[in-house]
This record gives sequence, structure tokens and C-alpha cells, in this order.
Amino acid sequence: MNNSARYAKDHPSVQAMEKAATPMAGRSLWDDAKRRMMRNKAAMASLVVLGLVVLLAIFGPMFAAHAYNDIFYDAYLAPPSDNFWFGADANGRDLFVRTLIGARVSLAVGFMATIVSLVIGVLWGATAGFFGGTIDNVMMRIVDVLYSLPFVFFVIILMVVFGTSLWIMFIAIGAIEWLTMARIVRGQTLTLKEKEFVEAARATGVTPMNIVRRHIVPNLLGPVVIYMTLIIPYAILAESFLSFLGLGVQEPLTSWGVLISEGAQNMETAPWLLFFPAGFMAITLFCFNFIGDGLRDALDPKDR
Amino acid sequence: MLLYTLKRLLSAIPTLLVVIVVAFFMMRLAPGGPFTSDRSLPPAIEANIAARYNLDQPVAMQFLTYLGNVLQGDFGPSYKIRDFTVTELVLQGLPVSATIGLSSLILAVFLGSFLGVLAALRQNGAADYAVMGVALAGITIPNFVTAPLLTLLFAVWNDWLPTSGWVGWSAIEQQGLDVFLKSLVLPIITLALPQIAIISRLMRGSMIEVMRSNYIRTARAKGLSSWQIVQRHALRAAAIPLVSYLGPATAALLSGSLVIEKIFNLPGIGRYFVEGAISRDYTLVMGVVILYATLIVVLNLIADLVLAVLDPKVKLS
Repeated sequence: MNNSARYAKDHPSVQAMEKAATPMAGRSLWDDAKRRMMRNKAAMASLVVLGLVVLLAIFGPMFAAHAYNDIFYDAYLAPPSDNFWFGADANGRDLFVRTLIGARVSLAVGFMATIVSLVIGVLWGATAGFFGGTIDNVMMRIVDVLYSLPFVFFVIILMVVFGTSLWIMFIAIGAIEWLTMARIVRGQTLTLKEKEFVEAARATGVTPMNIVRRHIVPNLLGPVVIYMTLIIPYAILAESFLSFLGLGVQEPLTSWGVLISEGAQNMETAPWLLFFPAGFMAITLFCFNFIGDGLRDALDPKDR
Repeated sequence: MLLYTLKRLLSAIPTLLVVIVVAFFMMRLAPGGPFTSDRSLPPAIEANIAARYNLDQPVAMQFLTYLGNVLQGDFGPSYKIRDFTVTELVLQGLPVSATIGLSSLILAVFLGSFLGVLAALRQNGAADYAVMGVALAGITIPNFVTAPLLTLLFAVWNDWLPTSGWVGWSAIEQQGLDVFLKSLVLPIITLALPQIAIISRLMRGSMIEVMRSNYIRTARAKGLSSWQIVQRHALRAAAIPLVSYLGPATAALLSGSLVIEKIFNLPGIGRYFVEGAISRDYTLVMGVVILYATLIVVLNLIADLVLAVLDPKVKLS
């Protein structure tokens, strides 16, 4: 054996590795994910379009020519024009502003319901996964039972019971979507707990708090973020579904579901009442889908 | 297998009980009752009505009475639709919902798996991109958007199909089979579209995976044609994820039918449910919820049994 390589760290190949490694900045999981995400054209375009829709929803109504509840008696079912860009509805209200207000409500329900489902799902899943044993069994059994319930029906009953306020809608829709989140988080926690790098961290004396902070949470974040981008469109759909059945947002406030339902009633005489809100909703849902797919490709280490 | 089936049916009892308890008490929490109206009735009459339907008793007593009746197969009278029992109403609506729902399910399974297999065999080819593009649209666009759009296209702008309405099995002789079938086309297609999309994606994914496995390579080395490989070897393995999706698919079709029945004005169970919930028709809502929960439990069980037959790795326990 060569004398100069008595210790492993002196071995030429290790030195070469060190030399090669030093100039390279450390690339974390998130740096990698960002690079992959930036390369995904569909996802990046969707981010831009979605950003525009969100900006329009927030600021559009402030600068629009009419208020969403202004009634113009001579504009009954008016076709799109300079004054009414998207036409006017059966009550003579400006559809452009109403579509943007609808976007506000639909997006708000989408985000808020997702946050509700995130909080419940992560707490439930992490608790079950972390403690394991009987607690895990009981908690997951409850999830199984809830899974087999016709949940839509309970949400409908819930909306009838508590009236149709936006807050109830956030909670009711969030309450349907947390089940899958809980399962995903539990599964991830279980596998992460047994991973070698967690064991290594434990062996080198990293405190449990730091293990959770530095190793469990960052690895949990990927799947959770991916699943979140999938829940948001579902929540938007659920809200529109309820509004379509007349159980959601009430007049004069509106949402895409309400507008589509009104559009469907007037589609023979004024099809644009259906086209504009349906188009906005479809574009938004497509965007979330592409972003979700992009994030999954970017964050899922299995597909590298 | 028999033992397993029995066990599963037994374990469905607590699930159904949870459904009944939650639905029952949630409905009672709703403000207003089935007999509240704008017109105020004399107190004596209100008391009489309440006594007739046991509404004057404590809620817990009402629940036990209801549960006892349900166990004997008596779902009570509808509170809102006079002179009809819940069983009668459900039996009226069931043929409508079942016709639409089952046809959609069958269409979705066959068309969805055909498209999925096609896309998988032509992976990254034109057919693949076409199928997956349409599937993405099918998943993203909800049926309360596709339904009015298709109606506009096929029933309003072109007079090919009726816009809405139910002809009914009994009217076939009078109005002819073609009228009956035409009235079904739009509801079935709009209800099936999202499921076709999901199933074709599912099938494509599992088919691609199966086609990469060793035994398929062996089959190909033996000189079997692509079609024979798919038919004899790949399909069975690739269908496994599809079968386990059938339970959720049924649930999705059931909730989708709420919208479809409203749009196409079909007298099915979904309509009874929504209208019943709004008008506080306690018994009718309970009846529909119990029926749907039972359906989901049974279909999940069937899916698991079929899975065990298809996949030798699955052990029923």
C-alpha cells in the first residue's frame, strides 16, 4: 500500500472528489426542484396565466366601469359590447365584473378550503404516523370509515343546516378533502421515520426537534405541496357544484358555479353568459393541473 | 371467500350506523322543520301534525323509533310529498338513476380502458397525445359545464337530440325505442366523460408498466402478435388498478348524477335528495343517504372480490 494513502481521506480519489466538490455550490432538493420546474414550459405558462387571473380577480373589480350589483334595466341579456365587455346577465348586470367577483369567491374558497384540509390532514396524518401502534390504527380506521361515506351528501346537508355562508363552505369543503392528505402525510411520516438519514441524524446526536425540522418536514413538504395544488381545483369544483345546485353563494354575490348555472338557463338566447364564466373556470383549472403536474415532476425524487 | 364476504358485510354495519346517526342528527339541527311554512297554523293543528309524525318526542326517542323502523324495512312516509312513502319514491326514482348511472359506468369502463390501452401501445405517438389531451380536458372540465355546452351543440343549434326530459321504460312501446334512446344520450355521455378520462389515464399508466414486464417480453419472444399479448396476458394485470378504482368511480357517478338529473330534468333519486334537503324532508333525505351509502359499501366489496380473483398476490383476510 502506498504510504501517502494511509488514511482514507488522503486517498487520491477522495482528494479528487473533494477538489471537484468544493467549487460546486451545495444544491438542495429545492434548488433542484426549482430548476426542473423552470424548465417545464406548460407549468411556467400556467403560473403566469394563473397569476393574471388572480390579479384580475383582486384588482379588476376596483377599476371596472360598473359595480357587480349595478342593474341596468335597458341592458337585459345584452351581447358583449364596448360598455359591457362580456355582455349583461338576465338582470342587466355587467357580466365582466360579475365573472371577476365570481373568480374572487371561487379562488378564495379554493385556497381557504385547501388550508382547512391541510391543517386537519397534516395534524391527523403526522400524529398517526409519528405515534404509530394503536393510535395509528384507530385514527386510520376512522379515515377509512369516512372514506366510504357519501361525503357530498353530508356537505349538502351541512350547507342546508348552517345556511350558505362562505365560512361554512370553506370548512365543509375542507372537511371532505383532508382525508387523502392525512393518508399521504401518514405514509410519508412512517417511511421517513425509518430512513437511514434519520437514523444517522439520530446516531450523531441530533435532537428529535431538529430531526423533525431539518429532515422530516422538508421531505414531507414535497408531497404536501403537490397534493395542495391538486386540492385547490377540487375545492373550486366543489364550490361551483354546490352553487350550481343552489346551495352555495347567494345573490347578489356570485361565483363561477352560480354564473355557469345562470348561463345554462339562458344559453339559447345569450350563450355568452355561459361561455365567459365557463372559460375562465376551465382555464384556471387547467392551470392548476399543469402546475400540479409540474411540481410533481420537479419534487418527486423517484422520477429523477 | 365466503367468510371474507360475511366479515366485510358485518364490518359495513358500523359504517352504515355512522351514516344514519350523522345524517339523522345533522338534518334535525337544520333550522325549520318539514312543516314550517309562511302561513302560521293554529297551535292545535301544529301539535297534531307534530304528534302524527312523532316530531313532539325528544330527538333521541325519534332516532330510536326511526332506527327500529328502518331495521324492519320501513323508511317512513315522505314529509313533503303527500301520500307517498319514501320506499315508493325511491323505487320510482331508482330505475331512472340506475339506467343513467349503470350505462355511464359501463361506457366509462369500456371506452376508458380501450382508449387507455390504445394510448399505452402508441406511447408518445399521435394517438397517445390525442387521448391524453382529451382526458385532461375531461378531468378538468366539470360536467355542469360540459352538459350545457353539449346540449347547446346537439340539441339547440342542431336538432339531433332532445334537450332534456325522461321518456321512461314504460313509454318505449308508445313513443318508440329511438325516442327513448335519444333522450338518454346526453345525460349518459356527460356523466361518463370525467370517468372515461380518469379510467383512460389509469389504464394507460398500468398498461405501460405491464408491457415492460418480463413475461410480456417472453410472450413477444414466443412470437405472439401485439393484440394477442394484450388480450391474453397484459389486460388482466393492467386491469387491477381499474378494478380498485371502481368503488370511488361509483361514488363519483352518484354525486355527478345530482347535477345531471337537475340539468336534464330527470326524475331520479339525486333530485329527490337535493329537493328533500332544502325542504327538510327528513325521511326522504335519510332514505336516499342510506341507499347511497349501502351502494358504495357493496360496490367496494365487489371491487375487492374481483381484485382477489384477478390478482393472485391479494389475500383476502
